[in-house]
Amino acid sequence: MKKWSTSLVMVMIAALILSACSSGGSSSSGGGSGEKVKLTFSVWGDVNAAADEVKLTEEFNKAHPNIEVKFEPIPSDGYGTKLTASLAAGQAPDVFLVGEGDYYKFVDKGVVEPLDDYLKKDTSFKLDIFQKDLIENMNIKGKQYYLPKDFNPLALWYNKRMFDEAKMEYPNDNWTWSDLTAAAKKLTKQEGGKFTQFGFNAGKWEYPIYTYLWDYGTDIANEDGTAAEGYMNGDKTVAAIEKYVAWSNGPDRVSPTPTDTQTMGGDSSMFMTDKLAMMVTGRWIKGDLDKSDVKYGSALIPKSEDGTRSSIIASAGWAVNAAGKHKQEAYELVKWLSGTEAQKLRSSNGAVLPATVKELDEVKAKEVNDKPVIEMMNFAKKPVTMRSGNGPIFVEQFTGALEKIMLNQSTVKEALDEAAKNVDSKIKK
Amino acid sequence: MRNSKSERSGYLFILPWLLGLVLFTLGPMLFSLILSFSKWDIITGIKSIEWVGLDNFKQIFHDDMFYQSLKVTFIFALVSVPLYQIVALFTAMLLNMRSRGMHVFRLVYFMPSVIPAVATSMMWIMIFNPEYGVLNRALGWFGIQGPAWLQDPHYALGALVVMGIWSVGNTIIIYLSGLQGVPEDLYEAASLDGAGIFRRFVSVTLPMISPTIFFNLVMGIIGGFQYFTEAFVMTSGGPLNSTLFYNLYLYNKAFKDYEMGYASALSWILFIIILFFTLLVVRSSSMWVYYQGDEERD
Repeated sequence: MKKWSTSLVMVMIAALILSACSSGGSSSSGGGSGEKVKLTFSVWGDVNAAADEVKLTEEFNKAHPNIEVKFEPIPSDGYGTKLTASLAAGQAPDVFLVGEGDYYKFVDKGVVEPLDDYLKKDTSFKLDIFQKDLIENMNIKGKQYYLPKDFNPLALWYNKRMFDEAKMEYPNDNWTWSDLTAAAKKLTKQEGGKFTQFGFNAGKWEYPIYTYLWDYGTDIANEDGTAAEGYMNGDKTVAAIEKYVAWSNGPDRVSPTPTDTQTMGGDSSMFMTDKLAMMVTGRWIKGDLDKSDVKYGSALIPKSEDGTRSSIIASAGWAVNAAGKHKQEAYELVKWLSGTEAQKLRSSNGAVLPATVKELDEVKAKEVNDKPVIEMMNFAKKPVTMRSGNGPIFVEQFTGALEKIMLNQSTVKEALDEAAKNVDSKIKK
Repeated sequence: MRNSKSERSGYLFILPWLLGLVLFTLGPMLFSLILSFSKWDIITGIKSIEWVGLDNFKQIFHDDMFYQSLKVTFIFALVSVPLYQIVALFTAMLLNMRSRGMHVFRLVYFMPSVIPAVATSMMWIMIFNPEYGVLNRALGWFGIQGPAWLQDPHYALGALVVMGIWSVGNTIIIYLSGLQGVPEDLYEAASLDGAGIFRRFVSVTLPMISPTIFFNLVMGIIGGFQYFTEAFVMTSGGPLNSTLFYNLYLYNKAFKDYEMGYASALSWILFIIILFFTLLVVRSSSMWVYYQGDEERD
C-alpha cells in the first residue's frame, strides 16, 4: 500500500512537470530555412460574422508566400476566458483582438508587444493614416501597443416614430442636457398607473454616465487613476449623479429603472418596439436596429449648459503576442489587418466605420445618419479603465454604488463615500 | 507475490479510470492546494506563480464579500435542504400510491430534472418577470401585486429557493425506490396492531427509508453549498449581492478578476465547510439510520 501511494505521488508530480513544460513559447512552430512561418490570429465572434477577416487572411497568404496565416475566431461569450487561458498555457495566437476596456490590463500584464520598434523600421507604413484620437487611445504609457480594427464612438440615438407621434422636433446639435430632460418628459407616457413608454434611458452602464460626469466637470477618478476620494464622491460628482438617477426614480421618472428595463426585455428591444425614445450608446446598435422596422436617427450627445460635450470611443485593437516566436511576421499581419485596404473592406457595407482619416471623411460626406456619430469623435475622452491598471477597481465599486442608489438602498452621498473609501483602500494594497 | 500477475492485470484494467482520476481530479486538486498559498493571475503563465504563504487566507477573513457570499449560501442551504427533502419525500409518497396513470405522473415530476439547468433558468426568468410573467399574473387573479422577484434584493434569494422545488425530481426518484423497498407485510402488521396512517408513516416508513433519507440529505447538503448555475445565469449574484452564492463569488474571483490563488483558497475553505457538515451527518447517522439485517440494533 505504501509503495503504491509513493508511485501515485510520482505520477502526480510527473503530471505537474509535464503541464509546466508545455507552457512557454507560442503555438506557432516551424520557421526554419525554406519552411513557411506559421501564424494564427483570433477575434471574437464566429466565422460568419468575420467573413472579412477570412478574406483578408486569404489575401495575406497570397501576398506573403513565406508566411501561412490561420484564422481562428472564438465565440464572443467565451473570448476573454479562452484568450486568458491560452495566454497562460503559452498557446495563445500570435495576433489577437483586444477591446478598449482591456487595453491597459493586457499591457500591464506584459503579454502585448509594443509596436514602436517595428513601426520605426517600417518606412512604408505611417500611423497618421488613422484617426488621431483613436490611435492615441491605443497608445499606452507612451508606447503604441495596438492598431485599430474598428471603433464605435458613443452618440445619442433617437426613435423617429416616437418623436413624430408627439409632434416634436428631433434632437439637434444645440441640445443641452436640460433640453433632453424636457423632451424626455414629454415622451414618457403612463396608462392606468403603468408606464407604457419612456423618454430616455439613464441606465446602469457606466460609459454614458462618464460622459455626463465629464460634461459637468468631474470624473470618478483622478487623471492617472490612483485616487477616488474627492473624485468619485466629490461634490460635483454627487450633484451630477443625483440629477442622473432622478431621471429613473419615482413616479415622475422619464427613464426606465433597471427593473423596468429587465421587465420590458432590455433597452435595445424597448427602443425597437417604440417604448424608448432616446439612448446613449455605440454605433454597434445599428446591427440590431436594422433588423427591426424601427425608424431611428443619431445625434450629438447633449452638452452641458457651459458647452462641454463628451464621448467615448469604444474600439477593438490588434495586438501582437509578446510571447510569440515570429513577432516581425505578426507585425506584418497586424499592419495588413488594420491598414487602408482592410478598413475599406470592412466598411464597404456600412457595418463599421473606417478607422482611416481619408476613408472616414468619405463616409462622413455621404452618410447622413453617421455624421453625428463621426463628429462625436472630436469630443472623445478616456474613461478610467483606459488610463490606469486600477480601472476595474473603480468600475466595480462605482457600479456597485450605483446599484445601491438606484434600488433606493442608500443616498447618493453615502454610497459614493463608501465606494471611494473602498477603492482607495484596495489601491493601496 | 503469488498473485502479482493477476494483480498487475487488475491495475491494468483500472488504469483508464486511474489516469482520469490522477490527471483530472487529484492533479488539479493538488495544484489548487499549492495555488491557495500563492498569487497567480493566469495570463502571464505558470512562471508567474508567486508563493505568498497564508496571505490569501488572511485576506479572505477580512473580505466583506466573502462573508456576504457565506451568508447567502448558508441561508439558502438552511432553507432549501430541509424544504426540498420534505417536498421530495411527500411527492414520492403520492407517486407511490397505486392508481391509474401513475407512470404519467412520475414522468411529469421527473422531467424537469432532465432539462439542463441553463434552459430551466431561462424559462424561470420569464416566469418571474414582474410585468408579464405567469407567476405575477396568477397572483394578480387573487388581487396580489407580486414583487419584482429577481430584481428586488428582498425576494431574489427566495425566488431561487422556490424555483429549486421544481427540479427535485432526482431526489423524488430515489425516495420512490426507497419507498418501494419497504415490505408490504410490515404495513399489514402495523395495521393489524391498530396503527393509523400517521403512525405507520412514523414507525414503519421513516425507519425503513432512513438510509435513503441519509443519502439524499448528504447529496442535498453538498448540492446546496455548491449552488451555482441558476444564480450565474439568472441574477449574476445581484441585486445588491443578495444572491452572491459562495461558488459564484469564487468563480468571479477566478475568471473575472483572474485571482487564481485567492479563488483556490476560497475553494479549499468551501471544501472544509462541506466536509464538516457531511461528517456531521455521517457521524449522527448511527443515531437515526436503520439498516435492515443490522441485528445489533433494535
